[in-house]
Amino acid sequence: MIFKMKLKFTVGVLLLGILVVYLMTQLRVVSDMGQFMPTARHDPQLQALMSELQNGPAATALMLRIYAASSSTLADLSLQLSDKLKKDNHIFRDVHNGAEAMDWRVAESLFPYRYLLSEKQDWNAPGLNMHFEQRLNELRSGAGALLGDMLGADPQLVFVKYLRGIIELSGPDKEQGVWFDSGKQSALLLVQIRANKLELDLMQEAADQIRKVFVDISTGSDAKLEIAGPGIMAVETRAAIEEVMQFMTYFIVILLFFVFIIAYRSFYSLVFAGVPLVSAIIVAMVVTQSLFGEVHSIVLVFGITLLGVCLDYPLHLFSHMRAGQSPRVSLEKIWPTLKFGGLSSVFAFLALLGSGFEGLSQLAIFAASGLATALAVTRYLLPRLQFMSHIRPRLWSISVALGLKARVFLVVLLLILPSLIIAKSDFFWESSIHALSPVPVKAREKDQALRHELNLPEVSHVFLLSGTDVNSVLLASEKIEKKLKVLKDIGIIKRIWSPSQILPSHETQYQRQLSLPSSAVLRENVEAVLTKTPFRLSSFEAWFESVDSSRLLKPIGYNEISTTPLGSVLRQGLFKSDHEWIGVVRVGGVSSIAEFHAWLESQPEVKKYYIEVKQATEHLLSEYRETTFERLIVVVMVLALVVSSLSRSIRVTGLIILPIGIGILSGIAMPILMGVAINVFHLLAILLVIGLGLDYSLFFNRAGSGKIAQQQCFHAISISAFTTTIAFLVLAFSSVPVLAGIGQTVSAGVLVCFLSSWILSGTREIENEGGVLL
Amino acid sequence: MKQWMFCILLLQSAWATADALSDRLEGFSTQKELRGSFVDTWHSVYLNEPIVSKGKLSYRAPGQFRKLVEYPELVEQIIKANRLYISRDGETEIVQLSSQKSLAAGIHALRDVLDGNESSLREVFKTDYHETAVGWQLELTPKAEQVAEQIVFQGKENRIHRVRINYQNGDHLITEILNDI
Repeated sequence: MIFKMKLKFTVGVLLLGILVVYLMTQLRVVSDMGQFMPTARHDPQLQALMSELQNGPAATALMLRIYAASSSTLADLSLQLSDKLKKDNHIFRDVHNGAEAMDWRVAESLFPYRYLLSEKQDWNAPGLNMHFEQRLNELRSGAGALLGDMLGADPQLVFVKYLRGIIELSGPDKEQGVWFDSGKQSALLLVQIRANKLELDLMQEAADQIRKVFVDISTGSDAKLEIAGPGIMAVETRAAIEEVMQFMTYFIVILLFFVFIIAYRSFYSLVFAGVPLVSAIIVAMVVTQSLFGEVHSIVLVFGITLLGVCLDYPLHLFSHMRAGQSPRVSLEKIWPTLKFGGLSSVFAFLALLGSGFEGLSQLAIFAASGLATALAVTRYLLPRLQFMSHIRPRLWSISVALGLKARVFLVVLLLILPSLIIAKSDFFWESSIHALSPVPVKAREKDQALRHELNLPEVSHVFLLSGTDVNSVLLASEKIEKKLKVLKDIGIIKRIWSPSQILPSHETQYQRQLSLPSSAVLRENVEAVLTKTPFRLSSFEAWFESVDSSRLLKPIGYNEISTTPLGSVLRQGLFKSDHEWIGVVRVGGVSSIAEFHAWLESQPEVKKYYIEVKQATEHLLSEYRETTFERLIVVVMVLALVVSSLSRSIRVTGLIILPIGIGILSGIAMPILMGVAINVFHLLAILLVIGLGLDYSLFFNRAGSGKIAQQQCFHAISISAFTTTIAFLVLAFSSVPVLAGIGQTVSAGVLVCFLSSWILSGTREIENEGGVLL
Repeated sequence: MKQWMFCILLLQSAWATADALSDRLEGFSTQKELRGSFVDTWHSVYLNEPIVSKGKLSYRAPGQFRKLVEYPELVEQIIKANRLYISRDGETEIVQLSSQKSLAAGIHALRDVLDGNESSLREVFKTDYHETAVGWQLELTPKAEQVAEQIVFQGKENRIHRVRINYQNGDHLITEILNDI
C-alpha cells in the first residue's frame, strides 16, 4: 500500500517534471497584441489593414528625437547617430534623418524604367531647355563631380527625382540638412528595425543599442535622446508590468507567509498550498501550448490570475484538518463540495470557447485545464505529502448576531449600491482602443507628438482597396489619388500617400511610354536647345537610345520593386493578404474634418473605399466587449443550472448564485466609482470573482454544517478573501492601467462576494433549514 | 658595377622623394588655418567649352573645408567628417561621401594634403612627388578602383596653387588657388 502511494507520488512528480521540460523546449509566448485584440472577422480587408498596422513597418519603426543642444550640435548628432546605426545592419534595416539622398545605384535595376515610373516629362524644346539650363547652373556651382555620368544618361534627373520623391513622401522640414521638428528644437530620425512583426526582445535590443551609440557620440554635450514608437511603448510597458508583477509576487509571498504561519502554525502550509497552483499553471501552459501552438502573454497573466482560485483548494483542506485525523479523511469530507465547485468552474470557463476570439479561447482552455489539474492534485497528491500532519489550523470564526431581516437588508444594500453606481454612471463602456492598451497615457502622448512632427501618415483616415491582382489595386489607387489631389490643391489635406506613387499601374506605364519621343525626335529637339548652350550634342547619344528603348519595355511590376530598398516603402501601401491584394491610400494634414467629410459625401465613388479606422476599431471593440459580456452571462447561467440541478432547490440556487451576482456588480461598479470606464479586461477579471464567489457560496452553504465545520469553512474562506482582497487592492494602485483595472474589479468583487455569501449563509442557519447542498 | 651604382642611385632618388614628400606634408600639418580664393574650370565630355566658377576657400585643421562659390551663383560647400553639405537658397543638402566616390577621392586627397596626413594619403593613393625650381608637384593615383583617375597638386613651399582632378570618363576639374592657401 505504502509502496503504491509512493509510486503514485513519484509518477506524479515525474510527470510534472516532463511537462516542465516540454515547456522549457516548446513554449512559445507571444506578446503580439493583435492576437488578443478583436479581429475584424466579417471584414477581411479591414483585418488585413489592422494586422498591417499592428505588425507592419509602421509598428516596427522607432522614432528618435535629439534635443537640448544647439541646432548645429543636434544636426551633427543626428548624422553621426545615423551613420553608426546604419553600420549595425543586422538590427537596423533603414535609418532616415532627411540627410540620405537615396543613392540611385542602390536601386540601379529600376533605372531603365525611370520614364515608366515617373510623371510624364516635357519632351518639347522649352521643357528640355529648362532642364539643360538647370544642369548648367549646377555645373557652374561646382556640382560637376556630383552629376557625373548621370548628366549624360538622364539629363532631366528623372530617376533621382523619382527616388527623392519617395523619400520625401514622409518627412518633416529640414534644418542644416536633417529633419527637425516644427519649432526647430529637436532633430528627428526614423529607424526601421529588421523585424517582420513587433518582436519585443528585438525592439529592446534595438533601443539599447541606439542609447549606447548616442551616449558614445554625445559625450561632452548636453543633448538628450528620446525614443518613441509602438515597439518601444510595448517594451516599456512590458518592463512596467514585470516590475509590478515582481513586486506583487514578493508582496503576496510575504503576505501569505504571515497569514499561513498565523492560520496554520506551519511553514509547510505555505509550501504545500503552492503545489496545486504551480501544477495547475504548468499543465495549463502545456495544454494551451499544445492546442494553440503558442500562449499569449495576456493569457498567461490573466490565466494565472484566474488560477488564483486554486489556492482555495488547499486552504479548505488545511482548515478542515484535525489533530489525529489523516489529511485524506479530512479531504474526503470536503471533496464533494470541492469537486462540485471546481468542476462547475471548469465548465463555466469552457463557455468562453467558441466566441471566435482566439484570446478568449486560449484563456478558456488555460483556466479550465488549470482548475481541473489543481482539483486533481488537491485530491490525489496533496494529502499524501509528508509533514501534512504538521499543519494545525488555528480556527476562528466571527459570528454577528443578526436577524433575518437585518441580513436581508444588508444583502439588498450590497445589491443596490453597485447597481445604483452602474445605473447612474455616464461612462459605462470604454469605446477607445487606447484604454485596452497597457501603455501609460504620457507615453502615448509622446508617441503621438513625434508621429505628428515626423509627418507620418495618419492612420485614422484610410482608403482601403482590394483586388485579386496588384494592377487592379494600383488602378483604383490612381483613381483615388487623382480625386484627392483636388482636396490637396484647395488645402483641405496636405499630403497623400498611395502605392501608385511608387509603382504606377500598367495602364499608366503604357501611357507614359506612349508619350516618349523616338530617338530621332528627341535628338532633333535637344539639338535645337543645345545650340544656345555649351553642351555637346554627340555626348547624349546614349540617352537618346535609352529613351527610345524605354518605349519597348514591359511594364515593371511589384516583384521588381520589392527587391530594392523601395520595397519596404511600397509594402506599407500595397501588400498581399491571403488570396487578395490590399492597397492603402492615406492622407495627412487634414485641416478640416467637416470639409473633408462633406467632400467625401459628394464623392460616392471615393467614399466607398474610405474607412475611418478609429470608428471601425471602436465598432470591433464593442463587438468584442459584447461577446465577452454575453459569455460572462453564459458562465453564470451554466453555474446556476448546474447548482439548481444538483441542489434541486431554487432557494439554494439563489443562495449560491446571488452572492456571485452581487460580486460581479461590485466588481464592475468599483472601476466606475474610480472614474474608469469598463473595458474587456475588467470583464475578464470578473471571471476570478465568479470562481471565488462560487467557492465561498458553496462552502458557506456546505452540507453537514456543524459548529466546527462552520468554523473550518469560515477559517478557509476568510483567509482566501482577506489575502485576495489585499493583494488585488495593492494591484489596484498600479501605474499600469490594465493591471489597476484588474485590481479594482477583483478586490471589490471578491470582498463583496465574501460578505454577501457569509451574510446569506446565516439566513439558512436562522431558518434552520439545514438544506443539504452537497 | 654600373648596375649596382644605378640601383643605389635609384634607391637614393626614391628615398629622397619620400623624404621630400614627408617634409612637404609636415610643412602643411603645421598650418592650422588657411584662406584663399579659387577659380574652378570644369572640362566635361558633355561640354563643348569649359565652365568656370569662382569663389573663396577656407580650411581649418583637421579636415574642415569650406568652399564658397560666388560666381555664377552663391553656393556654399562645407566638408565635415565624411559628409559634404551643399547650401543653396537657404536649403542644405547633405551628400554622404561614401556614396559619391567621384567626389570622395578628390576631397580625401585635398584633406590629407592640407592635414599633412601622410599615412592616410599613402593608404589610399600611389604618390609621385617632384620638386623643381618653380615649385613642387604631387601626383596621386587612387589604389582602389575609383571614379577619379588621377589627382595632381602643384604648389610652392606650403602653398597649393593648382589642383587637377582627372575623372575616368574624361572629365577633369582644374582648381586654381590664389592668395593664401
